[in-house]
Amino acid sequence: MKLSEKSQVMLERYLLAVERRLPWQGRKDIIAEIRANFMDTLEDHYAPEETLDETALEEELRKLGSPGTVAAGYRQGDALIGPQHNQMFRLIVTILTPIVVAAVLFAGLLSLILSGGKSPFWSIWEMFGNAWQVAVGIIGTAAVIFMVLTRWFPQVNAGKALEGLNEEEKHWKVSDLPEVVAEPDKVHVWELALGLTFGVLELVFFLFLFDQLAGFWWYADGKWRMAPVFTEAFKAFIPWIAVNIGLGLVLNIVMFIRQRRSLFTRLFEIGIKASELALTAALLRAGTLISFDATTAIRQGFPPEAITGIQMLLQNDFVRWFLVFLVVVISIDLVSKLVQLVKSAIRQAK
Amino acid sequence: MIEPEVISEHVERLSAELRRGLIVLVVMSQLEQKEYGYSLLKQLEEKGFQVTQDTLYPLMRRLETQGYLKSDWELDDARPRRYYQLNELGLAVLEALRRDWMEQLVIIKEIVK
Repeated sequence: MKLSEKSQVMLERYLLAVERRLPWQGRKDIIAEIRANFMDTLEDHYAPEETLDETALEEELRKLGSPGTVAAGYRQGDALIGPQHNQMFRLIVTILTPIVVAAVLFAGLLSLILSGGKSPFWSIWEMFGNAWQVAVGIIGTAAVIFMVLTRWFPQVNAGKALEGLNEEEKHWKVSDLPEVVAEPDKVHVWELALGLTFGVLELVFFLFLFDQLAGFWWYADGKWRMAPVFTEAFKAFIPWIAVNIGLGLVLNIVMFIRQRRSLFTRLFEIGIKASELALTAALLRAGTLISFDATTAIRQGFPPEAITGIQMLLQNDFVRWFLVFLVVVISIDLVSKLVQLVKSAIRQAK
Repeated sequence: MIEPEVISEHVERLSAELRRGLIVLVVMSQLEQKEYGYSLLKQLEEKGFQVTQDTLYPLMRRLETQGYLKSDWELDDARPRRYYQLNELGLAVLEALRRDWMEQLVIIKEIVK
C-alpha cells in the first residue's frame, strides 16, 4: 500500500492538526505512534500494490476521528484548567492580552512624544514595565479564575468540552486542516511580534524623537546631559531610513497574515536588504555625519574626561569603520537571503 | 409495548459502559507479551471485544504513565513501532485484579441469574 503525493500531504496536515491540540510534553512521540498505528491500519485494509488517493484516505481519517477527538484521548484528565475552559482561556491569551498590551505600548509612546522626549529612558522603561505588568496581570488572573472553576465548580460549562468535540466530529473538513509549512519557510509569531514592536519604536525614534535623543549622553552632577552630534548631512538620510523601517514593518505584517515565508516575502526581504546596503554605502560617501563641538559641551557641563573620550572616538574615525562593518554584515545577510530564495524556488519547483 | 429498536439502543449504551469499566483489565491481560497498538486492537477484535482506536491507544499510554507498562520503539519492522508490555508492578497488579474479578464474577453471576 502506498499513499499518493496528495494523500501524503493530507495525512501530514491531519497529523499537524492533532499535534497542535496535544500537550507540549511528548507530542512528537504521540504523533509518531498515531502515524505508525494508522499506517498499520491502512496496510491491513489495502493490498500492497494499491495506491491510496485523497478520497480513500479522507474516509480512513474520518474513521479515526476528528483531530480534536484523537488529541482529546491523550490529554490527561487532571489538568489545572479543564478542557471546558480551554477555548476562552486561549482567546484571552492570544487575542485580548496582545490587544491590551499594544494599547498600553501605544499610550506610552504617545505620552513620550507629547512630553517632547523628557526623561526618555525612564519613560521607555516604564512603558515596557507597564506592558509586562498588564500581560502578566490578565493572563495570571484568567488562569487563577479558570483553575478555581475547574477545581471547585466543575459543573460550570461541564458539557462544553464534549459538545465542542461532538460538533467538530460532525463538521471537520480536510480543507480546514492546517497547511504543513517546510522548516525554512516557517515564521515564529514571537519573532514577528518583536520585529513589529522594535520597528514601531525605531520609526517613532527617527521621525519624532531624533533631535531630543540622538547624541552623546553623559551623567554628571545628578542629571543626564546630551550633546547633539549628528550633522545635517546625516539627517538628510532620515526619510530613507524611515522608509526602510516602514518596509520592514509591512513585511512583518504580510508574514504575520500568511503565517509563512513565500517567494514573494523572500523577494521583498531581499529588496529591503538591497536598499539597506545602498543606504549604508551612500552614508559612507556622504562626508561628515557626526561632529562634536567641545566648547558647547563644556558650557553644557560635560566633564573634561567625557569630552576627551568622545574626541578620541571621533579621531579614530569610528563612524566610517562602523559603516564598513555594517556593509559587510548586510552583504553577508543579502547573499544568505539570495541563497535561501534559490533553495525555496527549487523546493517549490519540485 | 416498547419497540425492540429502543431496547437495543439502551442495551448498546449500557453494554458499552460495562465494557468501558472492564477495558483496563482486558488490555492488561493481553500485555503479558509485548504488543504494539494495532496488533492489540486486532487481537481484541478477533476475540470479540470491541474497542475503538481512540480509546485503546491513549489508554496504553495512560497505563504506562501510571507505571504498569514499559514501552520501547522497535525499528526492526517495516516501520518503527512502539511496543508495550507489563512491567513487574503491572504483572503483580494484573494478578490481583484477575483474582478480584473472578471473585466478583461469581458474586455477580449469583446476583443477576
